[in-house]
This record gives sequence, C-alpha cells and structure tokens, in this order.
Amino acid sequence: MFFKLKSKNKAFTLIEILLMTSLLILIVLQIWNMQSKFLRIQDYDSKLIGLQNGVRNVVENMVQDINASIAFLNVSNDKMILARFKSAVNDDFIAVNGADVVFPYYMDQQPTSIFTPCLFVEYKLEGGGQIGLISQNGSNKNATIVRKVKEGQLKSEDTGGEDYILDTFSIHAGASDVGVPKVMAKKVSVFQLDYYGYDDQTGQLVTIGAFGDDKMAAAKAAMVAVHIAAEDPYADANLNKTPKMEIYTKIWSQKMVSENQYPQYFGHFDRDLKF
Amino acid sequence: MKNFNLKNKAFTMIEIVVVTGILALAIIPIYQLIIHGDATVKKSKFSYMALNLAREELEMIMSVPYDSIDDFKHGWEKIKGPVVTEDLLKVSRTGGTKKATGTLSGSLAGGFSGGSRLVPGTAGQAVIDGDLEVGEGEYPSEYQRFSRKVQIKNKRGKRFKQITVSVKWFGKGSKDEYGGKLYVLNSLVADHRLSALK
Repeated sequence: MFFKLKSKNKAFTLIEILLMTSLLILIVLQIWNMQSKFLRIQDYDSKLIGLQNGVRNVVENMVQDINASIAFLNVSNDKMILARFKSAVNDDFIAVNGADVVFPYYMDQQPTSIFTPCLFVEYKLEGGGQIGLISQNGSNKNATIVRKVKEGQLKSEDTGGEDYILDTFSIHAGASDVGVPKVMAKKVSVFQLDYYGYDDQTGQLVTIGAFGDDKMAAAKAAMVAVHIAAEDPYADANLNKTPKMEIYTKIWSQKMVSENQYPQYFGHFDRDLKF
Repeated sequence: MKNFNLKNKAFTMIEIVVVTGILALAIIPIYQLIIHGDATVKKSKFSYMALNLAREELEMIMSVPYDSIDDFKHGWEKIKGPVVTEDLLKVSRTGGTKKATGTLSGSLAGGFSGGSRLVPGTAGQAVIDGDLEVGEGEYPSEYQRFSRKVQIKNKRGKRFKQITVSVKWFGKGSKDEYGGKLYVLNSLVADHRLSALK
C-alpha cells in the first residue's frame, strides 16, 4: 500500500450511505424541479414583457394620436387613418378654395374646400388573415400592428347645403411618407376597432354605421373602442398557460368631444384642447 | 513512504447533513427572488390595464355634458359587460338620461354594411378561460379581476367638478388580493358655458 491508514472510521456505514443517497436524490430532484420552473417562469415573463411593450406601444400612441386628431379618414375594423395637425401651435398654412384665408371667412352655402397641412397617421393590422385568441380558434400569431405616417394636405369639404359644416375629409394628392413604417406590436391575435360618433341633432353617441357612407361616417367619428390582444404561446403545447396581454378600451377625440359639447363655440380648426 | 494520520479526516454524517441543509437554505432566497420577479411582471401588466380603465372612464366622463357628469358616479363596480355602456349611448347634449334600462335599440347597436367594415365587436367574442364566454363588444373575462369607483365633488360652487376614478384589482384568483393595488386618477372639469358665469 502506498500509504498507511490509521483511521478507526475508515468508511460510512450502509445506513449512512443509504440515508445520504436518498437525501441527495431528494435535493437533486428538487433543484431539477426548481430549475425547470425557473426556466418556465423566465420564458413566461420575458414573453409577457415583450407583449406588454407591444400593446403599450400601440395604445399609448393611439391615445395621443386620437386625442389630438382633427378627423378620421378611414374607419375600418382592422385599420384606422386619422389626420392631426403638424405643428405644436396653430400656425399651419390654411387655404380656402385655393386662396389664402382672409378671416373671418364664411362657407356661404357654396361648396367649399379647405386645405390644411397635416400629418396622416395610419394603424393597420398586417399579416392578419384569420385572427382571434388562441383559446378561441388557434389564432394567427404572426400578425403585427404597423403605424405609418404621411405628410400632406388635408382636404376638408363643405359640399354645400344649409349647414356650415365640413362634411368630408380626405388626403389631398401629393402626400409623402414621413420616416419608415414602424411595427408597434407583434404576435397580435386581436385588433378590432369600433367607431362611434355624435348625432348632430341630439348629441348622442351612436355607432358610425348610422351615418351612411364611409366618408361621411369617418368625418363623424369621435370615439374608438380598441380591442387588442397579443399572445406568445410556449413551444411546448402541453403547457396551457399562454402569455397574453389584452386591452379593451375607449379612446376619444378631444376635438370632436368639444365640438359636441359646445357646438356654438368650437370649429374645425381647434386642436389638442389648446383653446 | 508518507504516513497519514487519517483520524477524523473524512466528513462526518452530521457535517454533511448540516452543509446540505445550508445549501438548501441558500436556494430559498434565489427562489423567492424569481417568484417575486414573476409577480412584479404580472403586477405591471395589471397595473397598465388598471391605468387604461381609469383613463377611459375619466375621458368618458369628461366627454359628457357638464350637467350629466354626476350621473356617472358610482361605488365599487366589477368591470364586466359592454365596453360602450348603454348609459353612455343615452346621454344627449341637453342633459343625460340616468341609468337607462333594456337592451340597445337596433339603430344604436346597428352594424355596418359594405366596405371593409364588419359588425362591431366581431372579434370581441373572446373565450379567455375556456369555460367563460364573453359577448360581442364586452370586456374580456380577465377584466373581472378589476373594480372601478367614480367619485364626483363640486368645487368652488358649481363651476368646477373634481372627478376621481379609482381602480383596484386582484392579483390572482379571487382571494389573493395584492394589498393596496389601487390606481387613482383625478381631474378637474369646468363648466365653460356662459350661463355658469352668472
């Protein structure tokens, strides 16, 4: 032997080894369980944070854009285009029927067109197709919500008649892109927009379906009920807990609200509640 | 040849058990850290949902005529049912109608036709928990963990109203309420009408 042992307790007893082995097995199993749980929690949380960021991004930008909007130009269920003033103060150049504005001006029962420099903001669901919650029908997990901005002239028209109200709004020719389209949210399962506007006579809120054709309806839109859900399921289909962020909320155009509350005081050129 | 005295050179059973116990105890704070992080992520999600519930209620109350604002105060109410309530749709410019009953009339609930527009709330038929169905245009079932309260007080006579919207919520399940999970938004609304100056 290479060296000489003098210990009286040279080895563990069988009982000790059995005890230690079972104890170690228990601990290792526990650590294994905890590790897999940690990984699952980490996966869940990182996915949830990603979804939250996307949904927050959309909702917060929409709140700002809609609050400050002059008019809606498109009121589809999965797409919205609105116009908002370009500058922070009301110094945008305005032209009426192609000429400089001399205040006060009147839309004297004549068809009138007003051109105002504006930003046109679009929110659209892309790659949508069949959408819906995973728990509902499997969903399209790859849909995105994209925000595009254009710069150009907003054409507001009074088509004549007895009222002095701008009936329709549209993007005048020549609008150009500002920056590149931004993907605001990914993994979108639901992007549903329902629009409401005020009835001129009563001031009651009604669905814009009551206002007739798309152009007239868009001009009346004052509130949007926005339903967004984003989901990012685990790769393991056996885990039924799907990270999900869902917001269903109402967003109001402050300008339309003010015009409805005080129709005799507010006009179409007020903005951002800065009156 | 080297002569080792190996008396008590190996670990005793007690030592090993104690060390193992200490190691197991050391894992507990790590475990708690991760669980706490998980709760924080979920809390931020509910906090953001609460913020939007408070914001939309505040904006909604500010959108109705000044005389109708008081109709919208209420105690703690669970968030469920239509996102656009019938009470809101009944408010007219000349004064709201309080707590209307019955279902929406065809013209108010009316859908769209043609174009790319669909009937409102088509995608709102969400089934969240598998066994809990939510109707068209209604808050998803996850919102049932939230409750909302609206307080309205007159300020400086009747020219101003202070609106306070509070939202509270449950963390998980219906019993495990995170203590003090409350979101409160305040705003002051003025009566801009000339008659209010008299």
